[in-house]
Amino acid sequence: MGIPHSRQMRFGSIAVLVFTLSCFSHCGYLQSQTFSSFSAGDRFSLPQLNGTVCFAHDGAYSSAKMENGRWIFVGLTLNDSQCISDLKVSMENSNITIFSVYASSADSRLWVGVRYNAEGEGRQVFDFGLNALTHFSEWWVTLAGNVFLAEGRNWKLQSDNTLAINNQVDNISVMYFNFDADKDKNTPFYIQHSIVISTIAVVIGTVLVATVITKKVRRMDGN
Amino acid sequence: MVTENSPYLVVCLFALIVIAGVVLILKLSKDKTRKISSLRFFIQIAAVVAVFMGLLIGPFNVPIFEPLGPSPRNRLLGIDILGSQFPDGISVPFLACYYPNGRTVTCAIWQLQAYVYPFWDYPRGYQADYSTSGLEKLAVVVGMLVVACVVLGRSFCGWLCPFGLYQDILTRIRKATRLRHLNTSVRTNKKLGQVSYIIIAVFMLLSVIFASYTIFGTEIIPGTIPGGPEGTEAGIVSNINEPFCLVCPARPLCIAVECAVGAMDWSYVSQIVYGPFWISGFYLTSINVTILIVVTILAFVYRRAWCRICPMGGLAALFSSFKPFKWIALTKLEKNEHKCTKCGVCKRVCPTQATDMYEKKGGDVTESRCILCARCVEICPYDGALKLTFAGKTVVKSRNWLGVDKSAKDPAG
Repeated sequence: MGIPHSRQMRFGSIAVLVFTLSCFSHCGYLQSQTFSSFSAGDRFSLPQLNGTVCFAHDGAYSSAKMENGRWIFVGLTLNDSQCISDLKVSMENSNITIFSVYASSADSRLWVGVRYNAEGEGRQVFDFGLNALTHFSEWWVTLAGNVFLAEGRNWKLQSDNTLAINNQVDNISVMYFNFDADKDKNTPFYIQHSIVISTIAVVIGTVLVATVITKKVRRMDGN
Repeated sequence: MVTENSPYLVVCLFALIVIAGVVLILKLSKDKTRKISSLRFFIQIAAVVAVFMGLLIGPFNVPIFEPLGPSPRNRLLGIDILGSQFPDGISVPFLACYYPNGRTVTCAIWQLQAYVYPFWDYPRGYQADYSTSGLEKLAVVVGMLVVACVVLGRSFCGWLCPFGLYQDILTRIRKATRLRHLNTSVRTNKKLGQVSYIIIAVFMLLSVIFASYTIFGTEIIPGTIPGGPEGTEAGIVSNINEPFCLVCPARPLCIAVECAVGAMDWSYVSQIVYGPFWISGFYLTSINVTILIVVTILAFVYRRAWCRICPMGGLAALFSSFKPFKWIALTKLEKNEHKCTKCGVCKRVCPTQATDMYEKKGGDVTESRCILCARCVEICPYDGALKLTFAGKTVVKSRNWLGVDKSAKDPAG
């Protein structure tokens, strides 16, 4: 015996309604939309983590969405800067205001970074989309422009190449320089210490040459 | 849009301009008593450009990001060539200040201090990663200094130092105002020379004291344990490291000039100063500025006033003018006693009041105070009485520009 057609319609409508409502309930304060511009102070919230991010300047992005407990900005640019970069940020129990975002591969070195102000002693996690694993010594986190925060205590480079900063308020700067700090680790001793070996060799050579020249000159003067 | 000039193009153009300038000065300069001085002035200016070559190369239009940088052209000779073993640049024995943007070489005093404290065993410097220990880096610095000083002696002071150029400009201004310079007494001048060694010893000792925990495992000054209580590690690293640089007069001069030409943002400087009256800071302190003002006044009156107590000059002299280095030094000032009439004009024109070229009988008359500027050679009116030599070959010698009769015959004919 079939269900009457009117009941099918009712069940179907209710199902669609429930499904739609459940989707919207996971969205943040600002719906992820493909706006091309935003204003300073527009808030991007993560209600489940009690965090918000906003920008100190007007700007634009090609896309912005909330996913897996973080905001993902693609093609982000702030109006006081000519840099365009991607940024994935998560903040827990803190509200952050981003002053600048920086990404450059000038001079064959990769730099990325962000400067922001944090309110509320919470946690921020940044993902700059770096392809290769980085070394902690290539990261630089400063507080209020001059306090160098210690790795392992105030911030940590996580196994997925994201950077987590804990319990800091005030102006914070995060910077990454690709210095290939670890690249010599497995090289032979004479390569790892090639500069000092070369310097010692040059010193010895210079002293020897200078001694020979001096002796020659003195001999010529004596003659 | 971030742009930069090709370093190869800039360096080649610079080299061509310098060569052309040197040739023109040598060919066109008619006044025999000013030729070397003019050449030296030109080379001093060229040296300043060479030291801060990064300002010509770029990159430009980099968004202001960090108070402490970035200044990638600081790495022109650092990380790019020497790598993470020695990323702060080639050590030079003159005040090529570490702190301004665009530098290509680095003041050896900064490196000596920094590699003791705070970077003895810290893998991370300022915008640089180290794969070598402090001891190894110190060995490289000392090695570079020895090579430079054995080869060229204190001629770095006379021909390349930016702060030396500053003092020479003050001297030229004073001459233009027709004011006479003053001289210190011989005894005072000798004592001043010893002051430079006291200065370097004091500041190196301070660096060791601050680094005591890292080197010896004992904290002499509270808060100097790396990774210690929150803020203290960074406070020490930011405020009191490289103690000589907190008082060096060259640093605020370089910073001020860079800010004036727009190569450095003044907010970088003003954001990182601490304490009452800016007693401490990363780019400059009130002590830097005060000493710069005092040295400026003194250098206006006493020629090359700072050079008489400069610790960098003292170090250069240590590696070139004292035994055993003196014996093997390749650049020397030499005197032919048979041609010298003891007229004393060499002593009068010497900017640092060196006296050995007058008092000593003959042979090598280079001394620790001599900056090998060759002013005495240039002004001596007796042919061949004084000469500047390199590896035994005469580079420049005194000429009979006065047309005087030879009053003393050289026995060798």
